[in-house]
Amino acid sequence: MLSTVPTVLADVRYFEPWWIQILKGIVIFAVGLQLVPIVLLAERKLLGRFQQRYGPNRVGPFGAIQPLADILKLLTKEQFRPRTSIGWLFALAPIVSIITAVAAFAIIPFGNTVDIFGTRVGLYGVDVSIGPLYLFAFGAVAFYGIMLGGWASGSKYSFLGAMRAAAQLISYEVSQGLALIGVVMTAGTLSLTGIVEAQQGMWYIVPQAVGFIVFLVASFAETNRAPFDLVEADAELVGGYNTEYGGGRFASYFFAEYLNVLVVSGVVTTVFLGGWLLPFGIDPPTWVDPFVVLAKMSIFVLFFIWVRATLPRLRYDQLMSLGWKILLPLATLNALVTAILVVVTH
Amino acid sequence: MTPKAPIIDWAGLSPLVALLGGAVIVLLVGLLRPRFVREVIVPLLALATFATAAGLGIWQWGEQISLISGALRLDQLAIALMWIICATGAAAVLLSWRAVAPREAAHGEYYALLLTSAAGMLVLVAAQNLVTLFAGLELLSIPLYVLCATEMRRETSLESGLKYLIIGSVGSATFVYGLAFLYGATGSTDFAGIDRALNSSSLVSDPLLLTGIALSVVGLGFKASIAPFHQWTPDVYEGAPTPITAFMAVATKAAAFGAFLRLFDGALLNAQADWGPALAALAAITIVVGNVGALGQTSLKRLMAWSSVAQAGYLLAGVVVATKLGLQATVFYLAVYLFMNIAAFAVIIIRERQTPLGDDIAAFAGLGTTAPLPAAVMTVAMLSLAGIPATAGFIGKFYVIEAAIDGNYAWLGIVIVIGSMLSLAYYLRVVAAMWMLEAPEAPVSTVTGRPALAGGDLDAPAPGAGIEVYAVAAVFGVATLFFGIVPSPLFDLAVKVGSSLTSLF
Amino acid sequence: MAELFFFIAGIGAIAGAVGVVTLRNPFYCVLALVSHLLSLAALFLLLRAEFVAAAQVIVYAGAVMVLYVFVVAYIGGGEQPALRPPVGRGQRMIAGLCTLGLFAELMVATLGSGLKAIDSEGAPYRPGFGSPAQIGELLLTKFLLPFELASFLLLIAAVGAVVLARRRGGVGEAGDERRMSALEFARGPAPLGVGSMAEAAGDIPGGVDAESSGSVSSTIGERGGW
Repeated sequence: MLSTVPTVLADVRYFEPWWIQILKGIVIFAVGLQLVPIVLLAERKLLGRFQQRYGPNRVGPFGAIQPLADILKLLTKEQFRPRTSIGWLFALAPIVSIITAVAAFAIIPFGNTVDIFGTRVGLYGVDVSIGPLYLFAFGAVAFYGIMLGGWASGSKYSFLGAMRAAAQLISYEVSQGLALIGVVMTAGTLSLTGIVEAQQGMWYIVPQAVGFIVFLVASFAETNRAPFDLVEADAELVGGYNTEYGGGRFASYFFAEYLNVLVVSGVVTTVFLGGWLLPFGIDPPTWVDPFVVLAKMSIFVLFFIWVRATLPRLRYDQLMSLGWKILLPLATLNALVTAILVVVTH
Repeated sequence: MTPKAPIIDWAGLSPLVALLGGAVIVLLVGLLRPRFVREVIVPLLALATFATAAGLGIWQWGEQISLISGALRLDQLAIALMWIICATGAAAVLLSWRAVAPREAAHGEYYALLLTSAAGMLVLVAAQNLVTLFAGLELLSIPLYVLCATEMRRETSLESGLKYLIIGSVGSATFVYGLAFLYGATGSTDFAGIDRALNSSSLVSDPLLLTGIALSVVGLGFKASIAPFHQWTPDVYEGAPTPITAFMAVATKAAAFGAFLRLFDGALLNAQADWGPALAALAAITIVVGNVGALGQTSLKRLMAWSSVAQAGYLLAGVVVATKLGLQATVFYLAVYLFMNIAAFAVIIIRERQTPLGDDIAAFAGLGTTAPLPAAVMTVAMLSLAGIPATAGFIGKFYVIEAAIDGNYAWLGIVIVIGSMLSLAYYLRVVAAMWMLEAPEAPVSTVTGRPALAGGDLDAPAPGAGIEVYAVAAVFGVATLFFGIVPSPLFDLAVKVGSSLTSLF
Repeated sequence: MAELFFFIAGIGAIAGAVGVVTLRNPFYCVLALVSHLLSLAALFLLLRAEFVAAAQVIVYAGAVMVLYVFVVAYIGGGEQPALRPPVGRGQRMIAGLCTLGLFAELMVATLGSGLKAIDSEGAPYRPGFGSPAQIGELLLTKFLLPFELASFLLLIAAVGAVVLARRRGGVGEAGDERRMSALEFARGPAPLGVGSMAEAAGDIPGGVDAESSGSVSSTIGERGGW
């Protein structure tokens, strides 16, 4: 007889009590909610500096309270929707985006299992036995948030943006998965904490450099960030799928987008950069682990912002060519070579 | 602890590897630029692949090999059916050498699809596992869906491809639903496991098993054009390019009946009391429906389609009896069916390329006077299909009726005889048109009948069929006559095949 | 607790399936199918088959259904009238009876065997069941051949799709596709009319100055669209 909803803690032979799981849910949501404004501010300030101007610097010292002002403004705006839109889908779409973003955030390990007041708790939401597949599953569902938003708006710009998003997402999904397969084969396990543990000797960015590059490029496409942001191309589509969205719903979409950036940074940190492991064998006390992960994540967030400021947007056919003709063969080759090497050195 | 990889018997797998490898090579060679390579070398490579597969079958003849953890079984039944499929494939390659279809779909892709479909058929007739059975079914069907639609400028071709896709998918879905129930009832996907599970008598009347058998019959019935799942056959056969129709008419039937033999006479043998009467009833209905449906047809391809439905009914009688004699009769009939059908389709293609009348029966009017040799081949084919003595078809029907009577299905034998009598009406109509009607005026000599301005083929081949089509017609016509007079080589083959399903007696 | 989730997922699956068949707007039908697939994934999770659940969402709900949504959103149109096949009432009644018969048979099979087993514990759970390791092992040992055949099937399905959907030339280009030079193959041909530099400079036809925009779009249209 099946007992409670199975907490699939890979390789960890304990079950967390239900109140810990609820607590973790709240904590993950809260952490995400706190990190997004910081990323938002960093993006605007850094973009400003890259473009040789100050970013926002009016609200608060050096513009530090700008995100708060933004969010307050957005939340207090009137919630409108176009006459040609489909009401319930229009309202549902941003919710789908946020749910999938937060759910994907639950998989990033901020540390190993620790003892908090006698209860063993893992410093992560859930450690599924299918690891990265969980991420891809939610990424696949996240597409529907964009798609429904674009279609339910009832306007041509939104629709076109959503169609572009569809094609882009499925084109880069496969390369993303294949890039991770190399890591999974090298680590010998799908569980994310297992992958981090297996990087004790050498972080996987060294042997899996090709996979790292492929995954990074594919992640740019999956999160609709520049240079793959023709989904929301300002110059062409006014705003793509979120043209008709305003106020709180617009805030939801952007919350989801930045959270996706954080999730992807977190995954890259975990899988290629050794998670909470420090180089040179330094072994800090366990409470330092989350900060190490956050620091590594912020490197990638800054990289995302840097790329947005630097690279021009890809045209649709260039994007398709890159995804199918360059990334996919490269990812496949990477998986093949890794498989051969793993078998040979076993 | 790494699990051990399964032992791969490359010698036993070689026919399948040859077909699949040939498909890949043909696909790649078809990318080269020179026209000679695409139009001559690629079909030659396809022919070579079929010949290689058949030759490897000769090499592996006589052993009963279980391949790759019991997924396939290469025994005499599989090899004999593979020869039939390879012969059909080779004939299809020759018949489509100068056809429109390979030029519309590039040559490499066309022949690669043909080879892959043949490989899927081989997997289907050699399968020993429910999963392999389904994989083979899909591998054989999907290239055929595309091949039916390759004459893309002709609307009926696209329509036939679409119809085949939709109805074939329904059939596949029903089939896999039935397989799921079979797995649920018996707890195993291996045929050996199913057979063992059915040894216990309580399982034989289990509703899960019965539903599984019913749905599997329906699914395979779609593939084999058994009434009432035959509705797609006339439209698809008529719309598809004629070489593909010829391939489908023979090879798909061979594969589907191979699957019937494997699944019902092999795995589900202990449940014969369940499926025997049902299949027999379906066979009777098929024979009647097929023969009656062909009576009013003027298009020869439709007539051949309905006749193939009736032939499916005859073949099913060999499966129903579940005896060694039934197995031998089915394989023998499939072999002679190959000869008769390919001969008939070759002559249809000859006339299709000579006149703008397509496959209408009017194209055959007076053929006896204008072109007696193709007319003779067509006559032999039609008489053989009807079961007139001195042709191979007669021996085949005789064999099947003998198996039916021997297996306590005498009434089915009577239905076969009645069906053959009915079929004389439409087969002889074609013969009469050829020899007794007046030839029309001088035939128009364009292949498509459209002027160049409206998109007709500017550099079409010279009107009329090439030597290869005549050669195919001649060879298969002579074979039909030969095996009608001297059937012993095929008899010996059938007897050897009969020993491959060991649980039959 | 597991029973609660089972009923939610079960009702979601059935509601989604019924919605696919009965809803009028094709886009809603597709959405109903997506919700059905997600409920199926939840049912798989309850059966401890995590890998299959994830694969179901990633492949089926996340790729196949994306294509469905794509196509339906483009050409689905609005509400469609219910399909009325052009057959008489007698045939429709027979069809209804056959459907009822099939439904009764399926119910007898599934409910019959399910009710017989309702007091038992069901199939035993072996640790490791449904994990990617076990599925991988099965795919590479017992089901190696179907696995390889499935990959070949994917290849040949892609080839078939390209055969059916590729651009075809207009009159006079029957079967003689534009063969490209090696340099063009290496650089990769860009579709016409996207505004690349070569077009603007007039190296290849399709720029704004070269021909009137009408003929460019007509060329694209002749060649079968995008």
